Amino acid sequence: MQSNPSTTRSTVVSSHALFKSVHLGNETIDILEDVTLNIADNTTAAVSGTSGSGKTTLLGLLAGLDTPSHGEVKLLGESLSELDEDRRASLRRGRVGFVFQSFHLLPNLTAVENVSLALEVAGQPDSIETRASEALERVGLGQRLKHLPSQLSGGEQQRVALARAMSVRPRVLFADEPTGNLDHRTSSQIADLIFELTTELESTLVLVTHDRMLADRCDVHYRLEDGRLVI
Amino acid sequence: MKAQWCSRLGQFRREFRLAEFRLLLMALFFVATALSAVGLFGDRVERAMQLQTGALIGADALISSTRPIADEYTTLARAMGLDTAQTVSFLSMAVIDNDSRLARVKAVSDNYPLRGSVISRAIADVKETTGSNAEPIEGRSDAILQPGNAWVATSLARGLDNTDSSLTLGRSTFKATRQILLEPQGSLGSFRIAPRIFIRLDQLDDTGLISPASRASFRLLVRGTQAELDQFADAIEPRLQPYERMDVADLRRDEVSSTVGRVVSYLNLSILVSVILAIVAMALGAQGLWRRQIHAGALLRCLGGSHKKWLRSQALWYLGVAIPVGLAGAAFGALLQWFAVMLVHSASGVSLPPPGISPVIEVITLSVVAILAIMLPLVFAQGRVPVMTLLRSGQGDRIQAGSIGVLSVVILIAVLSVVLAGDIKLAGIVLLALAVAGVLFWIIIRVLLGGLAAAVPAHSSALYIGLKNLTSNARRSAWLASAFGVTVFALVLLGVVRGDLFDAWSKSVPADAPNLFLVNIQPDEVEPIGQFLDAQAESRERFYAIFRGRLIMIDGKTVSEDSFDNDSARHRASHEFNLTESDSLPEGNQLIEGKSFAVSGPGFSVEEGTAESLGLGIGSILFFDVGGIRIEAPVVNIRSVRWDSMRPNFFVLGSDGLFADAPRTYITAARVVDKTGRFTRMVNKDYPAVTVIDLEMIIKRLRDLVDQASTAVSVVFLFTLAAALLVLIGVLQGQRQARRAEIALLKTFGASRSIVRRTVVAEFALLGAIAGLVGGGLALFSGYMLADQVFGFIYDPAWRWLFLSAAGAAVVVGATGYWSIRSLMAVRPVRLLAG
Repeated sequence: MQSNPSTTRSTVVSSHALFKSVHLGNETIDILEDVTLNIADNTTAAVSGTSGSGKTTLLGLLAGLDTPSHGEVKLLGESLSELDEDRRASLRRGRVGFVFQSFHLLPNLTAVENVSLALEVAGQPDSIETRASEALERVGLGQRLKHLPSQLSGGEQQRVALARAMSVRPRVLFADEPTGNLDHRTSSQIADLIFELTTELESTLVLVTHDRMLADRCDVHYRLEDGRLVI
Repeated sequence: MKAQWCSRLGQFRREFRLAEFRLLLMALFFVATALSAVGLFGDRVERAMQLQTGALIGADALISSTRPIADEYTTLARAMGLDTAQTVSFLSMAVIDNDSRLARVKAVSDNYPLRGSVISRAIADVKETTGSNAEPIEGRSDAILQPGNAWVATSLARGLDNTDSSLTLGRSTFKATRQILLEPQGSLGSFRIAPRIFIRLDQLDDTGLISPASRASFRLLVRGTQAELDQFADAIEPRLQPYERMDVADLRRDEVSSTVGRVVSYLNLSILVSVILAIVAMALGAQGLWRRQIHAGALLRCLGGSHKKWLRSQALWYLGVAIPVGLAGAAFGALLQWFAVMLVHSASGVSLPPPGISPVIEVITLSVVAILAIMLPLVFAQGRVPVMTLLRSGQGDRIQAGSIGVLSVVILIAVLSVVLAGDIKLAGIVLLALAVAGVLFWIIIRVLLGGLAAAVPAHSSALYIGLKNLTSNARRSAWLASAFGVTVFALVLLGVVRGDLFDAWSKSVPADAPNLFLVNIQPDEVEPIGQFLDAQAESRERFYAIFRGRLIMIDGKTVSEDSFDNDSARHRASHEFNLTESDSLPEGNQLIEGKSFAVSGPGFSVEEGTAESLGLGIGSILFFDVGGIRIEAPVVNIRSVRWDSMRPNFFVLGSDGLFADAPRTYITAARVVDKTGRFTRMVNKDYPAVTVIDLEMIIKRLRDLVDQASTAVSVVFLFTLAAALLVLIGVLQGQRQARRAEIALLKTFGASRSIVRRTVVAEFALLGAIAGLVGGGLALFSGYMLADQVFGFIYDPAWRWLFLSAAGAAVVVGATGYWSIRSLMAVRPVRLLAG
């Protein structure tokens, strides 16, 4: 594991002594135990591990989508434990992007409308459709603006999702198994695109993956085993 | 057995946790309530008529005439062993507490009615217990209606002072002792413009209200065995004069029952839209259940179960669910119709008998049929789900219930429509009309949504995101908005435009138009009344002589009711005309064909609609019997009449002197400002036989009647609104999965709960606003077209209603939409991670 974040850059995502447990009846299951990490600005970080190791849970906690049982998470300088759900959402607005394994495009919206939606929520002032179109052109879908998700291949859908995430020029991009539903060749293209775009926009990438090769392309690589970071 | 019940109860508890199952039950409850409320009300109206069938005409047969009944008829009837009674009905002024009221007086002989009864209660009871459960006292008039007493309709009874309940008719004063609740021919009669007054026939002459040319209805009622009646009919029919007719109870019963049938059918059809929407909501709930339990049949077969057994157990399960829900809906419907009957009673005094059990049985049967028709095809389709879907997740989502599910819903709607309309053809017409209206609304709303989507540029606001949600599902949104739009259309048209049209029509009447009609003026009263009017009225019309004549022949051929196909002509042929003579056309009449009397010489002038319905043209020879005098002359011209001129108008008028020797009364009209009551009392004091008709009062009464009817139909359309909301809830339940994902996604983008809430509210409020805008707009447009094309006056629509209907629908739909998915607001965005 590489766990030495750059000390010359400011930290944008960090956790300290992070625990996450769930209760199933009388039983308590510890999903994450004592996870401490720091991810610096404009770097790429991977979290890898086997299924059930807690990597997606960690991503949810780091992005403020979920709350820890114990410990602290800081995102963009704000301690998430001090914020309620709405203020955590407000912190993400326009500054955090997401790419999901299952794309999560709205089926009744066209490609350009899906991208526009993120810009609308982010409160972008003007020319939303122009920016959405530019984002789609950047990921190679300039000819598929008016297509519905059902008319696109899996790779194309993930490109739309990537365009949606990057259209707001996020400080941090969280990607949850972005290539998990794609074939090898398409996975490689999507991965290339993710790295290109984060470099281009100087965003920080937090990538959850079980793909070792993909993880190794990141500046920092954290490995989780049974909820703990391992060396 | 107990274990089986416990198991079923457990299943019910489990299923009840599912929103789809709750929707199914709610919609079924709604269907049962709607059917029960309308069915029970209709049943009570029919029973009210049935109670009177023997008594519908108060006798086994009757002879009606516009002239006094010849003594020979009475003598003949008695000679044949028939019992007889007589009545005379006419409009007159009644003076109550120094206030003149137009009333329909019925003078009855001792033994009236021969069949059935007059249901009444003492005036004192009215004063003390109106609206209470005081039992009416039933009895025949000879037992109670004493000399010097009068019985009055509810509306008059309320105006009477308990301690001095006297009323004056012509030269006589009566003590009002009882309120009439129900009388033969009176079930629907309480809705007549003029309230009823009963007096004794032997006191009629003392009033001085009836003269040979008076407009009155004279009746001879007879009662006896069928053989006696047949013998009487054989003897009477050859002697009947053109102004006389004989009715037997059966014939009249058919007429009345068809009227009642129309009323009940109208109510049923009004509720049809609500029932159809509720069936759609049931189908949506059923589809949701189907999706949730898609694998149940496959799992059963995987474990070695039998599909037939599964089908049977499901049928029994839904049967067990439908019966109690149907019963509960029927009970709630019974409560609603009870309120409706109370309202009718307090508004008009009409009492209805208690309903029978048959509508309840019908409602439960239809509830069972509805739920089985909707659920069983889906359960059957579940049996066809391949067992492999258990192994390959997601495959089940692609399995559809197929056309059989849709077909069964369509058949169910068709069957219910026929049951409610009581006629396949009528049901077909109504369904077609509804489909056309639905498609029209759908097209307009679809175009509107398309226009909005194109016109509004993308920007960051909850309203825009809501709009995009609507437009991205334009087809579905348009259907939903159409359901609400049709409802808003009906509510605005009935609730607002109707009143506006009345107002606009009132304003369109010229300021100097007469507001009082004076009828039944005797020839020797013309001059003094003319002088009186010149002194007391602001303006007055000329006097027109009125001759009551029956049309006997056209071009030498005898005509009767049976000579014509159209209702208008049949009515004219079976009733007497109010004829007049004049040397020129009255004001507001315009010659459209033929020549004026001055050019053509003696003849008739016929109103264009009458000429068309009777098939008359210039030169047609008309033959009238006017009080026994035969008058024959050609039609010399055809004219148009402005019926809303508020001046005396006539279907047929003759040239001056054409009716020279015929018995006559006179009519005139006058304008009296602010003192109509005092004026009427002055006229009645000196000329008791003259009837003063206050047009403003008549219009007010008409308006009240239309208001009552419209309120009833508006209530039915509130039902429709509730059904449309059920459909909305059903649609939203079908979308829960997708909506949950969408809200989670918005939250990951950084949307706070309040932004998500505003987005959802904006979407549904927009949907409602569009529906309200289109429904309200079309209602105002319809009002405008009605005024312009049908009634011929200018209606300037009150545009504020457009805003109010849009705002009202936005609030109702917005609140319901948000309420039905409010639980999704708490969804956590983390659920989007890892697939």
